[in-house]
Amino acid sequence: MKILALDNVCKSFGGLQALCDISLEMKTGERRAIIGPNGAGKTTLFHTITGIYAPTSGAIYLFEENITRLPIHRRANLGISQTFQLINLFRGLTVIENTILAVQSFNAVNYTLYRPLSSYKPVIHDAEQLVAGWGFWEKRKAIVSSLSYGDQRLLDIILALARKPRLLLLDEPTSGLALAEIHTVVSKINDLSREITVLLIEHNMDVALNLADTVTVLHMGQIVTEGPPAMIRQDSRVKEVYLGTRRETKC
Amino acid sequence: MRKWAAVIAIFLGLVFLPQFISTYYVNLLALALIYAIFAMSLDLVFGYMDMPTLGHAAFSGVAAYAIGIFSKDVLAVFWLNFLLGIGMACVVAALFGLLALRTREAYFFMITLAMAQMLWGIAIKWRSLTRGEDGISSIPRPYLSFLPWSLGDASIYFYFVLFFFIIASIIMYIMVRSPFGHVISGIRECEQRMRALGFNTKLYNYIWFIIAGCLAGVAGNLLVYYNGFVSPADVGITTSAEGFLMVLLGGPGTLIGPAIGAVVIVLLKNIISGWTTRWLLFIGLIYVLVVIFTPNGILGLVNKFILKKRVTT
Repeated sequence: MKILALDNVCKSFGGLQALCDISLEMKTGERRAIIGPNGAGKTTLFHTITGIYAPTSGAIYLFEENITRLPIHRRANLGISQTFQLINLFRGLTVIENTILAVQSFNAVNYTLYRPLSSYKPVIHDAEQLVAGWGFWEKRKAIVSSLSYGDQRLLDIILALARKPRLLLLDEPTSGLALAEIHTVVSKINDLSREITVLLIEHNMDVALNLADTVTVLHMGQIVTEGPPAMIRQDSRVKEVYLGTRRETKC
Repeated sequence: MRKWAAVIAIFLGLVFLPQFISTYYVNLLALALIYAIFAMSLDLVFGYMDMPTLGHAAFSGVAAYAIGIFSKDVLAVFWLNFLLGIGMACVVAALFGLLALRTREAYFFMITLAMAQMLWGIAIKWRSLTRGEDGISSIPRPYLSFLPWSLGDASIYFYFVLFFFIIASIIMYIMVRSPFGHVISGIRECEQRMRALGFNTKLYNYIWFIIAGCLAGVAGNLLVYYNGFVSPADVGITTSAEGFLMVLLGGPGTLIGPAIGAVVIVLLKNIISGWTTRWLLFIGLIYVLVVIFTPNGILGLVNKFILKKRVTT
């Protein structure tokens, strides 16, 4: 089944065409990396998939359902989960409170006003399991704004995974992380069940080529090429995109 | 444990206090509790949603007018009037929320003010309904046939207010600790992430705002029976700003803070106005000092120096 399909998606901001005729299909369980130089439109592409931006033209299908005009939260409830390039956490709350928010988000208790949250044992239990599973147990009562950058990055991923998504979008999950932390993130993503489809933006080539089955190269808002990592490594156009073409100089 | 001991101590204190103080102070205490409900409901918007509002008196004021008009001109049945007052507050909150919640921060501040001032204008100009600037006077306190006492008595009315104060406090206490309340604090911290987590943030904010308005209506109901009088000032900026100051003074983002702020302001206002008519000057001075020296209000001071606790919100 096609998890995600983009059909000629364009997005422009005023006169700037950020995305142009993007067509893309992902199958269940696929791991795909989107690479490309700065300003290629990677994050814009993510935002059009998750609904932060509405595409200027074209259509987006999730699980073969047209979601082009759906608001963010409806898409999220269909099974999309995302992390953000600039970390987006509940900075004034503790680690466990952050995780509880993500866990309760699909537990149908959210509109309850008449009962304290602490009485929902399964929600609390799930959140504690997650926090413990990622090695945050000792830090569970720490205010998020006091955590290190790396920890915030990891918590960002925990929140995205807490929702048991079917499609996970990771926007530079390893940027700013120390080597050991990168290792943690990569192995956690590799350990994910193949029921979860993963689309990630990554600048670290080793990470991208290690995690992905397919790599899509984006440049100036257009797809340059896509294929398995081995092929991308050899592709001369990819080198051009990253390194520029040799200009004949006469002098 | 210590927290509950304190709550029970305050409760017992409130129950027995009227036996030991003069009628004047019993009345003052009732007024303080009414404003405490108002300030706590305002803090649901200001502190918990982080949406500074300058139009909260619209809700309490409309409730007061609804009771005043209905019980004088139509039918004086207590429970009917009371529900009508709360209902009107809810309706106005639902209408205001539709527009106001599209904005944030300073814009929210201004639009809530503008909308409340519209009601103020109506209260002044629609004389046939509201009696204009004169206001509606001699609104009788309700007669409750199932009670052996008359609410006209100061300490009986105090217990009447205390009853609603406790109910409203319990409602708000549970609200802020419910899953819904947790969602509200999530939206306050990062709305975009909440949407990405699948929350319909606008709907949550809207419902929360309406409930806060309804609870302000309870305060308005009690106030109109307390004063026996309602005038355009009750929907105007002065009342809203006073509530705002109570929240700031007590400690925003908590429930006990605004209640403390309300008691302090009501007492100060009466004490200072006893020896000068320029009491607003002193209230203003207190406001300036609080904002500069203790942004977390009296509760922040208590936590810092007495409980040695870090304030999280």
